Amino acid sequence: MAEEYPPDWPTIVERHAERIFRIAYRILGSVHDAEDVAQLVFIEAKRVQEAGPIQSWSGLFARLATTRAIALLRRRRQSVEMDDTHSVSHLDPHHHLVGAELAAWLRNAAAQLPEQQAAVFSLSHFEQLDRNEVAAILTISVEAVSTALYKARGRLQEQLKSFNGVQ
Amino acid sequence: MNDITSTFTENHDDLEPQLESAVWAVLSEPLPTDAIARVKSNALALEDKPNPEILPSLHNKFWSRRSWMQVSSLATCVALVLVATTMLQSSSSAFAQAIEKLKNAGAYRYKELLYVETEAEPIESEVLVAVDGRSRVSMLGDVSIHDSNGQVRLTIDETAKSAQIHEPYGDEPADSAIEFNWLDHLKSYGENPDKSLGTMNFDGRACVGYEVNPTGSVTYAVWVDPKTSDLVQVEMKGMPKGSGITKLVMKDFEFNLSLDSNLFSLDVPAGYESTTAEKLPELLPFEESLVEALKGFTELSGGNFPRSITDWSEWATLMVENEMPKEQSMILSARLGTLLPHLTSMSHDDYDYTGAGKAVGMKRSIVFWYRNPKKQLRAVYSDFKVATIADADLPKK
Repeated sequence: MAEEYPPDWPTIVERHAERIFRIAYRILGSVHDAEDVAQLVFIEAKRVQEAGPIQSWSGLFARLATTRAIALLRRRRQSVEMDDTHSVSHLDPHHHLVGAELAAWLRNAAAQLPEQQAAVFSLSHFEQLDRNEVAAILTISVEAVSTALYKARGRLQEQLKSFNGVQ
Repeated sequence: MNDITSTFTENHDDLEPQLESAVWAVLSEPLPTDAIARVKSNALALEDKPNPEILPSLHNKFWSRRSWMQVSSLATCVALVLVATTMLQSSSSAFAQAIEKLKNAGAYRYKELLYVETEAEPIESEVLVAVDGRSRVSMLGDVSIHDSNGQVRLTIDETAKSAQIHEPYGDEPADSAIEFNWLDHLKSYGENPDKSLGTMNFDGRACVGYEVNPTGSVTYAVWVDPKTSDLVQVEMKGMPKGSGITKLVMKDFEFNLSLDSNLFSLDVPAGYESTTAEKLPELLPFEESLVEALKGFTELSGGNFPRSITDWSEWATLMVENEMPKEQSMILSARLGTLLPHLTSMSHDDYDYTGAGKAVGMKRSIVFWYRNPKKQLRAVYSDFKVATIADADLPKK
């Protein structure tokens, strides 16, 4: 149900800004891009608010932040050469990934997943949400979350195996 | 967010160890508190801004020039807004001489600059036109070859080394041919601009300007070097409301060139992978196109009407994000593209799109109205019904 007394905008911002930024930052790994996504999310949410009452600010923000960050990640991967410092493709396959390299690899790999799988994976693993919570945010069934998560993990683990030269 | 250390295990217990390490690496990155403060500050600034616009820099991250132009091309945006013909009333010898030169232009080239509100820099393309009317447009690494009817027959992606063949869809000049008609219009009209625009320097050349006022909302500013009677620059303004296109500039003209005929070849270049494009969908009359376009958008948006029917960025983003099949996106783009020539031919006072912020299922209301050639007011409602209305029924401003 929509809130009977919706909070004012400063309260909404104070309550949700950090989480929106965090979701975007975990997915993108760039402070600047995450800030841009957060601002875009607030703009979109404001438009949605003007069109009618918001059922769940938390869900709306999580959904927008996740999908917009993934969209940017995918487009960036498609249209812009990744910075060498963030790319692992040039490494020796037997190079042992550590720390920031692993994080960069995961983001690059997540960008290659279908959008729903990427969103489910991000919310499940970066936001530590259970399947019911992810389903509510993405407005899909719990079964769909389970399937997407299973496929996403499978694809990522296959990519890791391939990268490590383990066939 | 849940506590990482307590929930990490239960959420990641079936992950392969290295994948688990990768997730942990992401989660271990510290969150910059100063960035969060900036996010809050920027978001708070939106409080007093109803229907805030997405800033250009932000917009660009989600909306590359290439994507914009791909959809624009599909909907023949730029081409169709050039539909108006010119009616020149007074005479000017410099203008007349420049037009006379155009009539004998032979093969020529020029630069086209498309100015869009969301882009700091114009989108630039180079246009080559052969004596037989074929043309070659190069833009952002894409090349399109048009036949003498103006129909796109071959598109080439030089980066991907791929080409797409477009079958002709009739003997009539394509609407897209209108892209070049600004020149034909000037050539065919002759000697009499509407008014003088005075003088202005272009790259050190003192030029005199003439304004041409066609029907509808479009105007041309034609700048001529009076010493040589050379055409220096043509600017087109007055695009349909909300289109996001501020103006189109044609400049750096070179006439009577000797251009290699291979530049206009409809054959796929050697070494390029080729595909055949889907045929363009059949075009519908204005009202039907509008209704179909709005239906298509609301099906993708969960019922929300678009902010604009002339700014296509939101449409294209939605098509991309929904991974709309190419055939369907072509149809939707064609419906959208059909609107522009009609809107261009109308005065800004004779139509308005009022669907922004509305959604299917909300209280029935007018989302678009216009005055047709019979001077009847026609309205499209949020349930996609179309009716003739009275002036009193128009939405309040």
